[in-house]
Amino acid sequence: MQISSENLIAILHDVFPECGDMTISQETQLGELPEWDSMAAVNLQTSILQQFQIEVPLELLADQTTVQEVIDFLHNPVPHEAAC
Amino acid sequence: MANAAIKATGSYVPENTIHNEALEQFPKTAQLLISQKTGVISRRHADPDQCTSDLALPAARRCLEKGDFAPGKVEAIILSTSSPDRIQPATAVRLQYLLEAVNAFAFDINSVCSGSTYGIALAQSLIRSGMCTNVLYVAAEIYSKILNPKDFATFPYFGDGSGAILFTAQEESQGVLGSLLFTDGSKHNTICIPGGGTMLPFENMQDTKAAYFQMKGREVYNFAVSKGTEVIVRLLKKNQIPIDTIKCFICHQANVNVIIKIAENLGVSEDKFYMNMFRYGNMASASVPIALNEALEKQIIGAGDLIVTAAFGGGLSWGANLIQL
Repeated sequence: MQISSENLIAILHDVFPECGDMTISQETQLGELPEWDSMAAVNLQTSILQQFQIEVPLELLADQTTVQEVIDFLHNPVPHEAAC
Repeated sequence: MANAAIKATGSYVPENTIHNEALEQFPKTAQLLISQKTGVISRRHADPDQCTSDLALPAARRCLEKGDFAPGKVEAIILSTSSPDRIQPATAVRLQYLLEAVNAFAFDINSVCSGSTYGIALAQSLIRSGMCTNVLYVAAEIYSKILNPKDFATFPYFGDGSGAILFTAQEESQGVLGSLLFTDGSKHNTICIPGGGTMLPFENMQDTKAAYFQMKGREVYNFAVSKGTEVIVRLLKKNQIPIDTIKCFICHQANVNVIIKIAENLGVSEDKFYMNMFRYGNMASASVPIALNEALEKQIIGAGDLIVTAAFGGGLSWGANLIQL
């Protein structure tokens, strides 16, 4: 699957079916997704790994992280350092 | 009026032990989270050809053997499960057949993880009403077959197992001294399997995920801590029992952090709370009977001790029982 915001948003809708008709944009923060928590973050991490073959660090999949920031990482998957 | 006293207990867990490291469908970095979030290090999974009544049978047999009680003498079988053999008939009826408890009437109850508190209260009611002089309560669950193996929010935390308690009529100072049961049906979507019933039949299911168990984790954690604490306080107050006279609290083994928080809220040492979720995970309604059986076998509790059992889960439902062993 090609890395794009459309495809990532499709993954988010699949992982979070509770989103229903909610509009997910590049500015949407992960914490705004219904049922978002640390367990759900792993489900998102697993789905991204399956679709894009890239493991996103869990530290990046935080409440304040936007969809665009995840896309940016997927385009440039450098080792991530957790903020201190 | 007679009380329902515990004559014997039994339990069974499948041999197949699944450690966190074996859950290779999840990234390695995530596997550490399982024990951190819930305390679960391993769980047992039933064989592919085993169904729930197959797990119920060894627990029931062990219980009756321990109580030197012939299956033909059992008057009633209550089986709690939220992972039944089939939608119908009741899982209890196949257990009755396999156990050769030919004189028992048998039926299921489904209060999800609270099933044990409801089952114990129901056994007490059947005996106190005079309808039965004995009741075999069995809890059996195979969650490994109703969970989405790819769902990190549910799959790692549950396990399969069964527990049984034989209640017999005894003098009033012994046995189940009191029970409290509660339900908040407005939260019926918080823990559920959306599809496969009449609300969403299989032919109308657009996503196969609807056939799997789902849970709103954060909401459930807050509910369990709050209601788990509250129901124990209310039960002891209603029965005028000082909390320091309770030898052991046997709570639903959902999550080590929930139990630690309940202990903290009650001002009781967590050492007084029996815990085995580390080895087995959350076994839904079977978790309390299995923990009770282990606590008795390890002689952590024994004859004359006052104990409290408490559970909370789908419904939402919750409850607690005060028992003099």
